[in-house]
Amino acid sequence: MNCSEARELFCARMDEELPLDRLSTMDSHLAACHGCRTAWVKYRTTVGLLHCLPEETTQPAFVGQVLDRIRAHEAEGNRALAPFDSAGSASRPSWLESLRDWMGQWVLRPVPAMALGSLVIGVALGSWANHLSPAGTAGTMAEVAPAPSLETVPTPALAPSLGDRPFQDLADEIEAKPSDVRPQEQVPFYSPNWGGLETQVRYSDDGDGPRIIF
Amino acid sequence: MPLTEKKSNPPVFSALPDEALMEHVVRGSEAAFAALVDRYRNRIINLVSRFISDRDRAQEIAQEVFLRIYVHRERYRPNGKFSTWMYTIAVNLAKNEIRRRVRSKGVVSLDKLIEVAGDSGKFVADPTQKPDRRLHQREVQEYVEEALKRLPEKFREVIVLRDIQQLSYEEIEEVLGIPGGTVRSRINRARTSLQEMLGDLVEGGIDEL
Repeated sequence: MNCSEARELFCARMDEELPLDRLSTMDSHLAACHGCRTAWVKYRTTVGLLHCLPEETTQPAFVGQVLDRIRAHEAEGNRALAPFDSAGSASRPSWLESLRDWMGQWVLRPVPAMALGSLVIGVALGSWANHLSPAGTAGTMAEVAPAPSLETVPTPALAPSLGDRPFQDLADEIEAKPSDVRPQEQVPFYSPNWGGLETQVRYSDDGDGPRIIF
Repeated sequence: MPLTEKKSNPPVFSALPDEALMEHVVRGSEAAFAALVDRYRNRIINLVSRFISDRDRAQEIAQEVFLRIYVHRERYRPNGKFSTWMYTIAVNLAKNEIRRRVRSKGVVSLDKLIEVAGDSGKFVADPTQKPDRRLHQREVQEYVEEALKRLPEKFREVIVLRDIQQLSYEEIEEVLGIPGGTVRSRINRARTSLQEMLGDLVEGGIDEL
């Protein structure tokens, strides 16, 4: 018997359900294995602590109180009580009861319900706005609302001032002249993918001709 | 049949087995029913109290258990064990109470009942013990009570039925309506979880009791 097998038998041994041959094999293992012996003592101690719990008691008057309730029940004409003949029949709620209980929580708590409703609506609007954004990039409603269609935004390759210059040259030029950028005139950005390098690009026309800003 | 007291030559009910008592109860004997209630009142209170962690409410639910036993006495089948039938009723009422309290508090999970549970009961100490030792024992008991309350419901119910109520595996199967393998597995997992929660207490605390 190895340690894993021995520990699987703790429960059966504790409840005296272990056959004699298994008990003997387990004892031999425990005698030789310090780890399992310690684990067994802890297991047994845990159950022992439960046995130490004090018993709740009632007064003898309890019997009279029960009889009084029965008489009162009979006086009311034996109104029906839910039967409890089979285990769990009265304790396991149906899916309909579960749904009703769940919904009941929100009906009883209007403030959290309104907060949840607002959150759901907010997420739905955000998702819709995100869907409208050409590159699927999150932006504010102000940025998204006036967005032109993709066809109206020239691609970098077609922009008049770009010519055929490489990407890094463009970046250096723009970095050297930050004053050229007028953010209020920018059209919404989109994200081309150049050679696997995806970057956000804004297209601006500041009076000196349209340019790309990064 | 209404509850009546039979005055003439009453049998010694306290000596009769449960099933024989129930035969008298079905025929409407108040004395037989009183003997049954008296026999099981503490065990039912103890069971319900451990389930719902509210001693006052446990008293009311225990009364309800016996009321239902009486009202549905004709449904009892003498070939079944009376105590198992009674425990089934008690467990179901206790679980209903847990669900009712969870709903009324707006708690999503049954396992969060601990947050809405009331007092865990005051422990009756042995007056012959020295005060410091009694205090320590009470602390240990409260610690164990708290750990028990933190167990998930499905583990707490098996451990209460097995290690506190001392029901057999077969009785637990019947009371909870779950297979024997599940009962054994849950008992083992419940004890292991409890052992982890009790931590240092299990390491050496028992020796100090």
